[in-house]
Amino acid sequence: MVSERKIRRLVERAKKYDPEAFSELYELYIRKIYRYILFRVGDYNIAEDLTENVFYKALNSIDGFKFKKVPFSSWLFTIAGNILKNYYRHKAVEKKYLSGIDKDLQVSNIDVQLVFEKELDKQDLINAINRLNTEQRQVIIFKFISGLKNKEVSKIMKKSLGAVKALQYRALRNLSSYLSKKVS
Amino acid sequence: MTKKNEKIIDNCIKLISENNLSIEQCLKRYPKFKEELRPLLESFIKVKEFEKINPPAIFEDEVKIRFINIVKAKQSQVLPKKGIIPRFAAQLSGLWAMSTLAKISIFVILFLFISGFTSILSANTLPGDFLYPVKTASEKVIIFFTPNNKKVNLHIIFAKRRLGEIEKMAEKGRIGEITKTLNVLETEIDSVINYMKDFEIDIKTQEVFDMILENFNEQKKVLEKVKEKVPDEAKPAIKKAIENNMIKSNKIEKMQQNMIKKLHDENKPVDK
Repeated sequence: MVSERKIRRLVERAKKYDPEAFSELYELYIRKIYRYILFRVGDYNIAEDLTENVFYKALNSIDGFKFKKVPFSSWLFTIAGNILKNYYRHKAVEKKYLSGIDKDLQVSNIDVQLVFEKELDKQDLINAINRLNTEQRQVIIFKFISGLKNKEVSKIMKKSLGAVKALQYRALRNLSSYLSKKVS
Repeated sequence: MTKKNEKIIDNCIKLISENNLSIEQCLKRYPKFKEELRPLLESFIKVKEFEKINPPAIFEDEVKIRFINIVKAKQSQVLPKKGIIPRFAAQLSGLWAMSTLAKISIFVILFLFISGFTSILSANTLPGDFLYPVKTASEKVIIFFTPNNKKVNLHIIFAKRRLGEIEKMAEKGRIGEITKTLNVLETEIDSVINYMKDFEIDIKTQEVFDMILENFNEQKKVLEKVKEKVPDEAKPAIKKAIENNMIKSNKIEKMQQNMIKKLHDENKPVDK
């Protein structure tokens, strides 16, 4: 577990384009960001491309980052969220253009089935996660898949800590309910 | 109840994730909620399995190399040039990158250090010296932050200082500044009299009256001495200051007598 103070120091060094600091930050967050994106787009190749973009975008805008009550991780995940939004927007436009159908703009839903096509034992769990509403699904991905803390999640989702805990509780209650129904 | 459940489940998740507790160990802590918590924590553990998914190592390494190369290229663009001024500018920009709290702390420390240092240096200065304004400015700051009932003592102290300065200036033959300092001395004495008018009568006030009168006597002696030392053109100003000293001393004595009378009338103890 890396302390917030250490991350602050790394970020201050990274602002001066210190390669070592960037390297450490990259190693700290690459997997978390990748998992978050993978669970949103459901495609390994796209997840890799978008993850790379997150770090380039962060590098280009790190000058403007300030620790004003926002942890660095939340800032990075917000960049990832914006990149995902852009990706979905392009995907929606593409879809509309190809099919001529002006609907299904809800591509932001997680399409994780693609990821685990071969892992049948995970399918039920993925289906259950997919049945959660967007906010509950986001909390599950941020907290349990990307391993973020409540404070970081609350900043990304712009919600209070209490609201994050409530979403987490409801998400787990619904998940266990969906899974138990499937078993029975 | 739900709020409590939310808190408990969050706590269990933290204990399992950070302290490597098992579900059973966690449930032992909350026996009442055991049945409700178990399926939720089991779902959590199942989802947490996804945390093991990582990007391919080759992807991680390749991106890292590309990324670090860009960082290095950017670094070479912003590296400070050789020479004192560019280096100093780079250090200043580093200071700028500090948190606001750090900047404020450094500023306060620097301010206290500089002001403390200059105050010490200015302590023995005389009117007309380079650092004398620092001395008078620091006195004004002290007066500003002193409660009203203590201000009179400070004005007495500052009057003594002015008197000392006049004496030293007379010894050094710096006559030009004596007249100005005599005016400042008058102002200090006027401030003392004004505060005494506002004072509530009590025993402590009598001590202050004694102090002021003693100060007047001392002033008279010093000014008489100074009058002997200064050239003729400066003598009238000193003479006038001595006369003013007498008038104001009488005024204070009268105020003291009135106070004693008032204390007698009110049957309060008199310290004289």
